[in-house]
Amino acid sequence: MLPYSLDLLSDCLAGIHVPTEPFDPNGEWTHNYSMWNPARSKTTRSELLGSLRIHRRLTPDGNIRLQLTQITKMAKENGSGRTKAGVTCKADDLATPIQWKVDFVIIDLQGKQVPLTAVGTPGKADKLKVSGRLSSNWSLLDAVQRLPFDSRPIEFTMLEELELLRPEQRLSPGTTAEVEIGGRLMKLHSFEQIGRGILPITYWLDDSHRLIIAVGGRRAFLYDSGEGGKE
Amino acid sequence: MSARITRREFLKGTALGVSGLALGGRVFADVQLPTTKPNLLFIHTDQQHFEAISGLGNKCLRTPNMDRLLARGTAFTQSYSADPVCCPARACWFTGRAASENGMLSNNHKLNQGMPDLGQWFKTRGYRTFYTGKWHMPGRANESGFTVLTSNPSHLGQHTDGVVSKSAYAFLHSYADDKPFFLSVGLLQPHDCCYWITSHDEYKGGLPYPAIKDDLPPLPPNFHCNVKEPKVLADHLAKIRGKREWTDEFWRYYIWSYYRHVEMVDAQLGRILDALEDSQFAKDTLIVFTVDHGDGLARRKLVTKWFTYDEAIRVPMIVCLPGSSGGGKLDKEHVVSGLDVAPTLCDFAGVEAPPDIRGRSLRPLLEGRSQDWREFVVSECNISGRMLRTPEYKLVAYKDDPVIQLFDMRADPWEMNNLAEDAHHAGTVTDLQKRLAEWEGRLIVNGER
Repeated sequence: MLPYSLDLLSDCLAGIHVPTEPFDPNGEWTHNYSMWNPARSKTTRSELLGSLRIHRRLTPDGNIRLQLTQITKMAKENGSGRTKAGVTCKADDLATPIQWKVDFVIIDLQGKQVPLTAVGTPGKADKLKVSGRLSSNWSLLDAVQRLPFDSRPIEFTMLEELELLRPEQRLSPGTTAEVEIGGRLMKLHSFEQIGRGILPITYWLDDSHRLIIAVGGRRAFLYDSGEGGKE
Repeated sequence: MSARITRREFLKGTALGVSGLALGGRVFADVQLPTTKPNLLFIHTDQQHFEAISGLGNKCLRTPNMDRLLARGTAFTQSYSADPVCCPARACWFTGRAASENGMLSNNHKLNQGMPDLGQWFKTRGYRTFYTGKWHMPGRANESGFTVLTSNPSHLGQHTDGVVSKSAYAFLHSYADDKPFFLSVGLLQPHDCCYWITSHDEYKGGLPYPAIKDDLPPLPPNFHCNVKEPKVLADHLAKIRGKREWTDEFWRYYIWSYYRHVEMVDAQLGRILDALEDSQFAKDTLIVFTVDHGDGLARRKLVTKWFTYDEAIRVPMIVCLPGSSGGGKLDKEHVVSGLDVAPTLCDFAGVEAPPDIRGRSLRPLLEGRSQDWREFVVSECNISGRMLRTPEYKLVAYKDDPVIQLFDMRADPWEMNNLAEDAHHAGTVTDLQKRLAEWEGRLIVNGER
């Protein structure tokens, strides 16, 4: 029996194709994720709602640079929201964001920017009034890949989309599961995140610490070996 | 540090103490309202229970940004949806007319053609009108009255509220026209709780996240309550309850999860308030924040909406005057309605209200002027149901149904004792029924009164 967080996505699992080559979470990499509404039931199926592309590289001063593009589809006639972000993070266990720039715009069905919807938002962690440790929803997608599967729980504030504060977060190792993904039986390891302003998020990783699935509430990111998120 | 930042941080700081301030204090000294037409910012969430705001004393969630609104504005605690379902409630906001008049009797009915909505109204009266987020009014494209930034997003707030709030953020940073604006922002959360419910309807396991066991909110006092109900209402509630077999602990898990949905939308609200505070419009924008309907939230083992108990029909309503004057007030006395949104916006904008609207402008109450306020509000429900609410009583009646409900809302706020068949209250029932009939007699349905 699948864990609950995967059961809701069971109609998607066959479509995930995870590379067999080794993965180094500490190196440079690019991951594409498709964004889903996990909704499998007797009468409904999960829905594809967008994509996320993350490129990670190391900076000369020992930090991490993440470049992200997230496309959020709106209803059919209303195009999509496009977010591009560049964030410099510490190479620590939360990929703590240091400074960033987030550019947002709504794109119509013809690919044009909708007037009055473009905005760029720079930020720096040292300008925030946050007690305790800091991470972001995007940098966590990097950080969990570098955590030992038996790591100790970490408490922090999450800066969602590098703007919205979600306090009192706790990230802990979770269960493992044997799951057939893309026609291959795989052992997945998990971390669970619980906190204010979110429904519990479960991160599922393969043996090489590659993040395959992140699912919380009505949003799931599924590893996409194609070009998801690429414009 | 700029004055602008100081001001915003001051607002955030005061929000932490709003519960105490709201008892009688004011956060800001009164200032003169601008003499020019204010900008209008109408922000609405979806399915938010009237108690789901931390600044009102709820310790089970944290909503620092709704608390900011409380610190800046006036919150009406006796505020009622005009019809506790998405489409009718919204149609009542945007037309100022009762659901039985505007045609939106239930979800997926159609708004009557020829009845203006607020976008069309303000667009021809000196305002530039913009819309972003959930609209949900079949029969009327919001493009007919608004410039649409993005609209009718997917049904998932978790997915699209960020795009909606960010579009409002971008708009407030970019708008540069000489005309004042009317921006309506439709956020979807905490409506995603509906999908939480359906995805857990057949769940029979234990608490999936044992770590939260000690944080689960308590069950409400009326969790097991069962009172005599009109048949249409009783049948409908039976459908809502379905065959769900959640344990008490799982019901508490539902409440816990519901509050996380509210916290999600609170952060989106914060993004919009930050943008407003950082913009040139901070001092000349009226903010109206309200909700289309509430949520059962485990009261009577109910979830969602479509009924006349307070959990579904009573909603938050907070109004912040331009320039932040008169903030930090709780109005517990006056009964107000979603039908009051249209006349209130028109009043502050200095334009006449659309014809035959049913609500009243809240402006006299907001400005502390002596005012003979209405004695009751009426809400509609399930097409044939009516709720009449005075400051003291709630009467619920369905067409052609002999079962009436009467609750003494001061002595019995959890609505656990139906007094309609109590001989001591026969006179009250008769009096309220008479008032309801008079209200119905004033409606104009299909062109006829």
